[in-house]
Amino acid sequence: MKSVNMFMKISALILFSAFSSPTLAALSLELTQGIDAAIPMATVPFHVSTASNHYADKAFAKQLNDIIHRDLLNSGHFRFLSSSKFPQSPSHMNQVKYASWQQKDIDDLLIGQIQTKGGGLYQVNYQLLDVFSAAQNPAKGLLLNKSFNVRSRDVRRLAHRISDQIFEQLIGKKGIFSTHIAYVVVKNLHSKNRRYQLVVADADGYNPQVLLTSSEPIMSPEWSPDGRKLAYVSFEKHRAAIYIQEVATGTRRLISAFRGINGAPSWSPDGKEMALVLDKTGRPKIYTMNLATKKLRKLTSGWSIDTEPAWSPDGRYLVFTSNRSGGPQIYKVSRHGGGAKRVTYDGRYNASATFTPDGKELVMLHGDKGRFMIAKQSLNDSRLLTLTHSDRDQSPSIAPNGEMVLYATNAGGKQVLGMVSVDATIRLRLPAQEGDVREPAWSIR
Amino acid sequence: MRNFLALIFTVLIFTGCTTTGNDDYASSGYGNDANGGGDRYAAAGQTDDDDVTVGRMQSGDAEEVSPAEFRQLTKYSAGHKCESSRLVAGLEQHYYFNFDRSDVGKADVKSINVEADYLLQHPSKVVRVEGNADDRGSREYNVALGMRRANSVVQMLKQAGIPERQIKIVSYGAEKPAAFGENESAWRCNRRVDLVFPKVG
Repeated sequence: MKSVNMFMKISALILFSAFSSPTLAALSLELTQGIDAAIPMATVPFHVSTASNHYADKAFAKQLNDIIHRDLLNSGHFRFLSSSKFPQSPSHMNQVKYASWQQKDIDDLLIGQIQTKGGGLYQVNYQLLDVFSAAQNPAKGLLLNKSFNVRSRDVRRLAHRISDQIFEQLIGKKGIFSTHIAYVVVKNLHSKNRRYQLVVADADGYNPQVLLTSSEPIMSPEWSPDGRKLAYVSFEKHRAAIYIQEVATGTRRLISAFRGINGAPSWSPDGKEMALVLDKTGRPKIYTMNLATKKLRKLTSGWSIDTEPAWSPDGRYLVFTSNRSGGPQIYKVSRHGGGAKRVTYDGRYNASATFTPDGKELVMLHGDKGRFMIAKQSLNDSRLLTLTHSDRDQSPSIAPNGEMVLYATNAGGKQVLGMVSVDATIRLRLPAQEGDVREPAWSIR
Repeated sequence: MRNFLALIFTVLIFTGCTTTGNDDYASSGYGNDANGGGDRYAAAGQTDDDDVTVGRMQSGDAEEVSPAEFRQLTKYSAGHKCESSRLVAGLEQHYYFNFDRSDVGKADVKSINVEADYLLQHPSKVVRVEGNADDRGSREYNVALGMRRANSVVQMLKQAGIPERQIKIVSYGAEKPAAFGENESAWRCNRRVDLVFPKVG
């Protein structure tokens, strides 16, 4: 009897790539709806004190500014004064004429200075100014004053870090600009030559890195709580199995390959257990597996289809999809198993539930009269609020700051990703350039 | 008597009585390896399986389908005449199901019996029963729906006396569509079980 290899160490794929050249993103983010009360801002191009490599320095500065601008614009929380309307181009704080910006109704101003240090190294300083406070007292209006030393190739990472700081300062929530997303791409979907890929990219869609390529389907990627590993279902060798792959090294571990269904992996909040679906007793049921001992605990029983377990943030219970009352609905069960309690009552199809980070609400897939859309429901009552108005949505995944929901949808006959804020005021599209995209998962880092 | 035994057998299946088999994947997928781990190391770029590549960066793989090829391939998916199968022993078969149903149609019963006979006469042959579902709704829920259909067919094979070691089972859910389109004729082509006879060895 062939033994199943448990560990496969494949030579490294370094996730955080060294490239900073402006390669085309595989997914591009487009804001289609921002909030009504967006904060009016202006980002003045950072002043570059150039040394020898004039062109490269300017390119670095431009890219830095562009990425910050795009991050904040796509957050839906800001609107930007176009540079043609700038009253001035201050390079330092002492040059800022606050009254002229007040006249343009600008709340916040971003300025910066870039100094070349030679050898592709830069010192980047920026100041975020509250225009109205600063007009009275410049010291009071200085919200952020930061300095960095970076290599030119780290321009994207620095820009995202600055966007995070600005977002946190002005919005009061953690930013997600430095986080990553995973998703599945299918190439040649309409042919018999399909190629499935598991991809990890920056949250803005840039720097896609392929973690797995297969001629058989890949499903249900789920990030570990520390953001360093991905669990997923792979159908390589024509059967379902669950793997855990360490993203930085490519090291892969097979954790479940029972006969039949091995599906819907979901990490416990402490990272020590995996909830999953097995049908080894005849029907798909929810199990938890201790990742160290590999011991299984069966949480649900009965004739129904039970699938899609998701842990509550406090780790005390799980929600899952079950058709025990006829069609798929969301239920909850203690981590120790026992009686399951129904959670959703609105509509005939509710599935793919996932918790908001505060544990108070569920975001899910809701089917109504043949249309499938993303919806949310508080755990305290069964009122459902739909967040999207599409036909063919699936697979919602919530950002680590609890604000945005990343999901799969259809556009122009192609499968693409979309984003909507949990309060439904902000919407984005991520049209794919190649292949069909589905099953997104948002990492904490 | 045979009917009675078949009934008992069916009841046993429904009560979740599992039979042990020699299937590679029947035992715990992650257990105590007798080799104490059996770690296998692969050098950069090498893969375990021709079909799978782990962790290799793909750069600019266009893999475009040429217009002629596309016309040829979309014959397969346009028009939604579901792929039918000639009833030949040992040849890939396709069975289709009604919405929200997993019961096998009468004509398909005949086909399953032909294939069961083939398997009985060729104990070294293996059949892979692949369940599928149309792509509306949750992907993982669709895996379970596809498995329900695959299970129906597997039960019939087992009732005909085929041992589990000759039967592989998998549900692809909606991951391997045979037809595309937001209409009933496309969906029907995807509510499907495929009987596949892989080359063994």
